[in-house]
Amino acid sequence: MRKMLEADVKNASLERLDGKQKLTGKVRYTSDFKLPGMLHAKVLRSPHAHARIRSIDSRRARALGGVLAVITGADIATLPDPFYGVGIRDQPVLAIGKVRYIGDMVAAVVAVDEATACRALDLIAVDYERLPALMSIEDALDPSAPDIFEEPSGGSPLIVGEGAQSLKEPRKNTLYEFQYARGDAEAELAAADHVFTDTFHFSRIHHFHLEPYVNVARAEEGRIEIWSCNQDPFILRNDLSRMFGFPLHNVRVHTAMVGGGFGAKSYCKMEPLVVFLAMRTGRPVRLCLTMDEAFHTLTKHVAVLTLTTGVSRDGILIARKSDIRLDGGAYSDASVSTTIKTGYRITGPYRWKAVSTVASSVRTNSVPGGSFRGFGGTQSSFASESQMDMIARRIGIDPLEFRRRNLLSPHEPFAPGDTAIDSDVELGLLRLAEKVGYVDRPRVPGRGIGLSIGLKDGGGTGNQAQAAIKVTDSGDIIVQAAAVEIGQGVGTVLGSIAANILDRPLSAVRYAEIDTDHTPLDTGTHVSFATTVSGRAIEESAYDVKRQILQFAADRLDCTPDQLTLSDWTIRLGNRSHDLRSMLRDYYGPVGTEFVGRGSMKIPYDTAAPLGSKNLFWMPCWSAAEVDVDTDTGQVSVLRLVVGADAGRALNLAACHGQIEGAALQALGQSLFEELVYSGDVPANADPATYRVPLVSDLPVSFESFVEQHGMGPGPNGAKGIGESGMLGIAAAIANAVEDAVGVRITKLPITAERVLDALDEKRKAALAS
Amino acid sequence: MVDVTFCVNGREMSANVASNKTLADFLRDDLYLTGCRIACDGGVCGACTVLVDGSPVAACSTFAFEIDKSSIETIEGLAAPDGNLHPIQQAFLKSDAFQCGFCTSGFILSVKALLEMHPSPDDRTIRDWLKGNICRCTGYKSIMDATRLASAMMLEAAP
Amino acid sequence: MALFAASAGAASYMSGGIDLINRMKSGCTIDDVIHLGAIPDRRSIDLSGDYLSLGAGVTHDAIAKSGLIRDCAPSLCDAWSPVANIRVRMKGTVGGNLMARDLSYDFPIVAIALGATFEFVTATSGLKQIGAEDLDQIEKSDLLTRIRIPGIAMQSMTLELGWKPHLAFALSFLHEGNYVRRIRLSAGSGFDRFCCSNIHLDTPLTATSIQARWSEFADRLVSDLPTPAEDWKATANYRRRLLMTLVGRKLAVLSAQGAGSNG
Repeated sequence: MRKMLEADVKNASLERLDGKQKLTGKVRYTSDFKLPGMLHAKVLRSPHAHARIRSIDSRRARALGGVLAVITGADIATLPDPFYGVGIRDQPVLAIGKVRYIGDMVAAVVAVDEATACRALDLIAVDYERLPALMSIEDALDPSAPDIFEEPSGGSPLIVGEGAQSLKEPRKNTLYEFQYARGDAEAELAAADHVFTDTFHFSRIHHFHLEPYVNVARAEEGRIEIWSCNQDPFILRNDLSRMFGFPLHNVRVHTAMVGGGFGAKSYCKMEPLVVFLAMRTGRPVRLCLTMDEAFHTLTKHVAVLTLTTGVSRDGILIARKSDIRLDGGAYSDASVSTTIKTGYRITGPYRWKAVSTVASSVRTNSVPGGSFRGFGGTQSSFASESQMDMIARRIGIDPLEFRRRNLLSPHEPFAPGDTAIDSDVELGLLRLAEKVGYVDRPRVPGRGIGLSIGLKDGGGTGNQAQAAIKVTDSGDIIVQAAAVEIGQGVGTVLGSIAANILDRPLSAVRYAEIDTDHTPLDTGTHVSFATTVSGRAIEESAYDVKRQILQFAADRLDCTPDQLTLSDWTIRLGNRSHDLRSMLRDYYGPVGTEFVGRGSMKIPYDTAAPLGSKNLFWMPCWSAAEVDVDTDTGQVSVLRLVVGADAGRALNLAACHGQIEGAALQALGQSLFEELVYSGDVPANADPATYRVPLVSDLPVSFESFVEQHGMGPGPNGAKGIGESGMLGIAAAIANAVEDAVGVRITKLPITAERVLDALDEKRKAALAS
Repeated sequence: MVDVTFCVNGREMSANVASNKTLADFLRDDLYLTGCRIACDGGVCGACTVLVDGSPVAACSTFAFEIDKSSIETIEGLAAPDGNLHPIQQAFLKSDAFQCGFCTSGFILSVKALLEMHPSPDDRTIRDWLKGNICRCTGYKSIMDATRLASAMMLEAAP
Repeated sequence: MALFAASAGAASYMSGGIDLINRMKSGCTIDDVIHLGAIPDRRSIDLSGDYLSLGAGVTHDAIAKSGLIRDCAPSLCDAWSPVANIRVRMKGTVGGNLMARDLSYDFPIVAIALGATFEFVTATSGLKQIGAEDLDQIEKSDLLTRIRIPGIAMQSMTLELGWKPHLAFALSFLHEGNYVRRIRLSAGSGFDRFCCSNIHLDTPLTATSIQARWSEFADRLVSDLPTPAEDWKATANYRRRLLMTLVGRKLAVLSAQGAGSNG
C-alpha cells in the first residue's frame, strides 16, 4: 500500500513549544539546577589502561578542609548490586580491585566546592600494579592475553528469537556474541557464480554533546531523588532501585530538557555514584563532568566487519556470511544490544536466500562503547553499502541498478518472522538519484558521485510507552510522557498529536516536566521510538479524554455522545453550539475540573521474530555524495551531500529536516576526519581543543535533505521515527563517491587524505606492474 | 578581590569579584544569567559567548575583572521588555535553527556581533564568523538560513 | 617586571588572557596576575623607516584591520586575517601568541618568515633583542615588548593554515625591484619545533623564473627543513610529501607583482 500525502506536506511544520525558552536563554537544564546545601563531587580516574589496585590511601584527602567524604570501590562494594550495564552488567560504580581503561572511575570526593574537591583528588594516593594493556580486538583475542575480567559478570544476555543465538561471555575477553542464520549459507555460497570477501573498519567517535553529564542527588531515609541529565528516566529508576535495594516507588528521577544526548545519556552511567555520595554525606550532591571526562565515558563502537557475499552473474544477491567484531571497550554499557543490531542489520534492505552472521563484542582496555545514534546500523550500513558498490563494479553492473535488482519491496518481511519494510525503498532511491544527477553524470577527472541506502530498524525490541493527558476546563492541555526532549522536538510532536485530536491550537499545549513520580513510564528515549510508540500512547490518551468530554456533554445535554462534535472547545449538537467551559464550571463549580486521559503502547515479545519481537518500523537512509579528490594530496572534498529519510507522515516537517541534517553532518565528520584516536594505550585527542568535530566551515557547498512520506509507519497517520536515519548511509556514500572519482576503495574510516594518497600510489604501482 | 563597575543588558552595576573568577561563573552564579552555557569550558565551542563592548568573547575564558568599565550583552537582554523577540531570535525560530538549545545563546550573540559589523554578509563571511561556534544538533544549514534571514529582516527594518 | 620579581608565589603576565585561563583551569597555581592591558604603547603599530613595529599587545584583529599594514604589507594583512576564530582574533595578542610556546599557534611562523626580531625586557639585563628563530631564549619572567619586522616593504608572504593539524607554513619572498632575492619557508604545526629553510638567490630571479622552477625550489626548501613529526594525525612521509605539493603549488602561481604583494 503506497500513500503519498503530498497535500499535507506544505502545512506540516510546527512552531516548537520549546522555541521561545531556548532562544531567550530561559530554558533550565540539569546543569542549571541547584539545591540548598548542595555539595560538589569530583572523580579520580585511572591513569592506566589496565592495572590492579593494590591500595588506596585517602587520608590526606579526607583531612583537607572542606572535604566531607572520599569514597572508593571498597565503599561501593557494600551495595546490594554495585554493577550496571544493559543485559550483562559488568561496570562497577567505582573500580573494585582493578581498573580497566584510562578514565575508569577509581574514587570520588565530595567537598564544599569543586576547587576543593579537585585539590583533594591530588591528595589521594593509589598504588597500582600495571597489567598489559589490550588496546585492539586482535590484542584482546590473542591466546596469551590476560583476562580483563577474571570472573564471570552478572546479568544475562538479551533474549532473542527464531534463528538467533545470544551468548554471554562465550570466550576469552569477549563480552557477548550474537548469531543469526537462515537458509544454508555455506551451500549457497559454494554454488554462487561469484563470492566476494571484504573487510571494513569503522572508527571510534565521541558524541560531543554540549551539555555535560550532570547529576544532583538527594537521599533521605529510605528514599532517593535525582535530577539527572539522562535520556532514560525509568531505566535509571529501575537500575537505582536494583542497585540500592530500594523499592521503585522510593526512587524518583527528574529529567529536564537535555542539551544534547545522541545516545551518550542513555542508560546508567555515573548516577549511582552521585546517589551513593548523597547517602554518605546526608546532603544533596552535584557531580558535573567536564567535557574531557565525557570523552572518557562513552564512544561509538569501533567495528571490524568481514562480509562474504555470494552473487549470481546477473547481479542477484544470493547469500551473505558475516563476521563482525565490535570493540566494546572496557565495560558492557550497551554493547550487547549494539552487537545484536549490527549483526541483524548487516543484510541491508535486500533480499537474500541465505544469511549467516556472527557478531561479537570484544573487551579491550579502552573507553566503553555504547549507544550512539545509529546504534550498529551505522557500522553495518558502512560495510554493506560499501560492498554493494564494490561488487557491482566487479561484475560490471551499475551500482544503482544492482541495488534495484535486489531491494525488498514494501510487503516483503526483512527476515522470516519479522515485519516488512514499510518504505518504498526503490522510490526513495530513484528520487535520490534524480536529485544528485547520478544517471548520466558527466565524467570529470577527480570527481565522482556515490550513493547508498543505509538501514536500521526502529521502535526497539519490546518497547513500551505509557502517556497521560490532562485537560483543564479551559481546554489547556498538559501532555505527560517520559520521552525526553534532547533536541528532537518530541514535546512539540506529541503535543501536536494531542492538539489535533482535541481540536485545540498547539499554543494551548504544554509538555510537562518529567518526574517519575508523576510521568507515565516508558522504556527510554532511543531507537527513534517517540513519534511512534509514545505517539500512539498520546493518541490513545487524547481519544480517551475526548470520549470523556463528549460523555460529560451528552449527560448534560441529555443526548448520546455520537450526536455531538467537539470543535475548539465548543460542543455542537445539531446547529446549536455550547461553550464547554461554561458547561463545566456550571457543573463542577468555581475550581472547575480536569479531564485525565491515559494511553499506552507495547510492542509485544514474539519468539518467532529473530530479535525476540517484531521490529516496529524501518528506517532507510538514502544518501548521495559528490566528491572532488585532489590526486596530489589525497584530500577528499565533499561538494554536495543529499540525504533523505522516510518519516511515514511528517508531523513536524522542519524538525524532520533538522534531524536528518544534524545526523548527516555528524556522519560526514566521522567519514572524513572526526575520530577519537588512541596512541598506544592513551587517548591522543580526548579534549575539545584537539578533537575535531564538524564546524560550519565543513558544510558542503550544497547540502540538501529530503523527507519522504510513504505513509506506512505505525505511528499516528502512518508516521514513524527518523531521528537516527540521517547518520546511516553517509560514510558508504562518500567511500563510493571516492571510488567513482578516482578508482580507489577506502574500507577504513576516516577517509583521510593520507589513506587516499596511499591507495592512489598502490593503484599507480599496480598499473605500472601490469 | 577586585571591584568592578559595568553595564549588563543596559543596567549599571558594580560588584566585588574574586580575581580568579571567570566571567561565565560570575554571570551564571552571581547575576543568575544562566543563558550563558558552559560546555567545553576551554574557549573552543563558543556556547558561553557573550558580547563585551560589542565584541564576542568566550565568557568561560575571560576573567570577571576584565569587564570593568565595559558594557556586557547576554542573551537575556536581547528580547524586548514586552517579550517581543529580537529579529535574530525570530529568524532562528522561523528557520528552526536550534534543537537542544545549548549552543543557541552563543550563536545568537555571535550573529548579532556579525550583523553589526557586516549588515549584509556573504556566505563566506558568515562561515568565517560562525566557525568559532559548535553545534552538534542542527548540521548548521538552518543556522546559515537563520543568519541570512536575520540580516534581511534587520535591513528591512532599518531606518 | 618588578612586580613579577616581587611576587612571592607563581606569577604570570596576562595579555589577552586566553592561555592564562586555560593554564589556570588545568591546575596551574598562579598567585599573581600582572595584567599588561593598561601599559601604554603595547598596542601601537608603527612604521619607522623600513621597520614595521608591533607592540606585543596588538591584537590579531588589529593587524587584519590596520590601514598602515594594508599599505606597507598587504600580504601580511591577507595572511593573518583568517587566523583562529573571531573571538580569538579580537582578544588574542601577537605577544600572547608568541609567548604561549605552542606549536599549534601561528604567529611564530609569520615572524620567522618575515625575519622579525623580538624586543624584550629582562629582570637582570634590561632591554634585549633576539631573532624570531630564537624565541625560546625568552624566559617566563621576561616581558616581550615589541616585534620588529625589518625591510617590510621589500617582503611579501603567503600563509597556509588550512591543513592544520597536519601542517602550517609560511612562504616569504625578499624582493629587489621586480626580482626575488630570497625565498624562505617557515613551519610550525606538523613539526617538532618552529623551523625554517632559505634559498638565497645569488642572481635574483623574476617571479616567472621562480614559477618555472617551482618543483626544484619546493624540493630544496622542504628538504632543508627537519623531518616532520610522525604522530596519530599523519606520518612524517605524508607530511613531507604534502608540504612539497603545497609549497610547489604556491610557487607555481607566484605573481609577477613586486614587493608587498601577495606571493
